[in-house]
Parts: sequence; structure tokens; C-alpha cells
Amino acid sequence: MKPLRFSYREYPILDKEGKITSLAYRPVIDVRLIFKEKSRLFPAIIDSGADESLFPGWMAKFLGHHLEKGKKVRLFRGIGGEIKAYLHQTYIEIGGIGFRCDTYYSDKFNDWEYGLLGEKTFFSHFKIELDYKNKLIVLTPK
Amino acid sequence: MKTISYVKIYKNKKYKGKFIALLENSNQVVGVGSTPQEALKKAEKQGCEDPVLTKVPTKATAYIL
Repeated sequence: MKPLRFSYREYPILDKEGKITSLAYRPVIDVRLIFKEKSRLFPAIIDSGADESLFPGWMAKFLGHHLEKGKKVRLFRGIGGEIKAYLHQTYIEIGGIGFRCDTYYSDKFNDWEYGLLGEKTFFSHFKIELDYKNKLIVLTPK
Repeated sequence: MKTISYVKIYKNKKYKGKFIALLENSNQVVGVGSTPQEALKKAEKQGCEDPVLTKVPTKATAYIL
């Protein structure tokens, strides 16, 4: 299958007054999350530092999941401390390629603009090239 | 391939903390609202049936994940 190509996205880092202090370039792509009859495109960052895929709780509720009735509750530890997240099986589609994915959702993530695509679930489906210098993302389906 | 910039969106105070609907792989806002449903409804009125749904964070900070 042909590789999928995407550009990096540019995000401003703002101070308390709303002034730009720097720019961040991140490997964010639009992915379709599907649950039963409902589907929606959401942005998600390709995150090799994340073990699992994790999305804001509001996205789970939007898709029709009952957030706290997830199959499994798990604590994730990051630099900002621990968060509780709930597992819901979700079908993920990127550029016409779809797969069922163990996806965690957490309300602690509700102010985030995108989800995290982690190693265990996302990286097993693509060979991933992140070319920061040229701000290019290449996903080659495995 | 040109990067997609969210600078104008994040700098615009009317979007801060709001849900927004965007055209896929773009920074073109087609709907905004206090709920995802409100943002999507506005996008539909503009003829966009399947936009990307996201939220503009209240704090635009650097991340270490």
C-alpha cells in the first residue's frame, strides 16, 4: 500500500497575556474514531513515548461510550502525575486504513486539543517516519 | 508539504476553551461552540457535513509527554 503523507502542525505557546513565546511543531494527524453507528474525525499526536492510545473523555462521550463503564480502569503516569483512564474498544481509521484499537479515555485530558496515538496500539500498524527537519510525517501501512 | 498553522486560531480569544469544527487537514474553522454538538451544527449550516472536531485549550503551553 502507498505511504500516507502528512505535514507537521504548528502550535503557538502563549504566555498569560496571550503573547506568543515560541512555536511548537507537532506530528498531529486527523484520525476517524468509530463506535457503533457514530464516527468523527479528531486530531491525534503520534507519540512514541506513550504506551497506549489515550483520548479526552469528551470524545468518548461524544461517540456514545459511557466513559466510566469502560472495560478496564487504568492509571497512567506521566510527567504531570497520574491520571485515571477507561478502556473502550474503538475502531480507528486513517487514510482509508482501519483497525480495532484498545483506546483509553480520560476526563483529565478534556482540555487537550488532540488524543495520543501510542506504541502498543498504533505503532504496530504502520512504519512511522517523523522528519522534523522537513516537517513531514510518513506512515507506511505494514 | 506546508505545515498547518493554528497560530491565528489560538490567538483569537473567541475560540479559547471552545469546541471547533475544522475542514480535514486544514486550519479553516467552519463551526464554533460551547459544546461539540453546537460546533458541528454550525459547520453543517456552512455545508460541511464531516468536519474534524477539536477543542482549543484554555492554556497553550509546551508539552513534555
